Amino acid sequence: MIQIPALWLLFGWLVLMVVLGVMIGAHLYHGFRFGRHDPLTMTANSLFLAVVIVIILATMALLAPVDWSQSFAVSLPGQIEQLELPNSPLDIPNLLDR
Amino acid sequence: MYHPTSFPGQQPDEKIVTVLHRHWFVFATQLARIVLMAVLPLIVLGVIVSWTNFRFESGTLSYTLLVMGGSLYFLFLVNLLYGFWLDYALDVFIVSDKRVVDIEQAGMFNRTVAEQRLYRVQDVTFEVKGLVRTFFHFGDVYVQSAGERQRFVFEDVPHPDRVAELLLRQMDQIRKAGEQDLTDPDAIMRGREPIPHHQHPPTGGASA
Repeated sequence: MIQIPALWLLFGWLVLMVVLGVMIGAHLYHGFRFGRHDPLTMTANSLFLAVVIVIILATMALLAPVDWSQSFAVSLPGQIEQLELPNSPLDIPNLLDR
Repeated sequence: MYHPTSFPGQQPDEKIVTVLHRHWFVFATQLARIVLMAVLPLIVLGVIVSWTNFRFESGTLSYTLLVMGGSLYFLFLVNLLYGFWLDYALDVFIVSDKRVVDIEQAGMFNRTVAEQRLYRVQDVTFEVKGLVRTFFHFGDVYVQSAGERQRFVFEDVPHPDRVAELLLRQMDQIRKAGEQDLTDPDAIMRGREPIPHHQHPPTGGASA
């Protein structure tokens, strides 16, 4: 069983969001620079920006309930948990006591 | 749509004859693919939730990964779609009364403007390949020239036959106006309009 701090997931997600943000910013720059005289392109630019903002806000709202100070426990494949059973037949002193 | 009224390097007396974009079907195909990529995971998720007991409880690892992964995935798709739109809307092929200009966005940080004077154009051909292109009347126009960039391709333009005809007509007009004077390389190199052939000074006389 390994423990993954929730903050690690958050930082990893933020890094990927920054990379995506650079790509989105580059597209927006081209869209506003070369399409500023065209109403249809400006509409598409604004719509794209609005959708990006909505997705980011929705994600932040959905991630708000997460406790970032916790760690997520992940079982590794093949790991067997040792369970303590009451009155186990292997518990020889109990058998002898009956 | 991006319909420029001027383009880089346009001369004062140069007029734009036509501005071409790719056919709308090209963007529609890309849009359909993106929509499919967006809807398919949602369907799979719905099937998993409805057919199994698996639930995404708020605050759990699966929930967190789903939200984070989903936001990255949909932002990527939206960005991809917008890139396709910019490619469709901002890539233009311009035919003026003097040259052909190809403005293309190749990648995020790469914009190419290629131009060729019409008198250097040697051959114009067009190609309509496939059922969809035949049905929707769009195809490629190939412009063969004698310049550094020997071949222009106007990809997926509507009615390529009319585009080819227009280009040939423009080339004919230039030839008839006598503007093509390949014996005056200095004028061509300086970027001026070459002296029409009938206006050349007589042999041995002072030059104009």
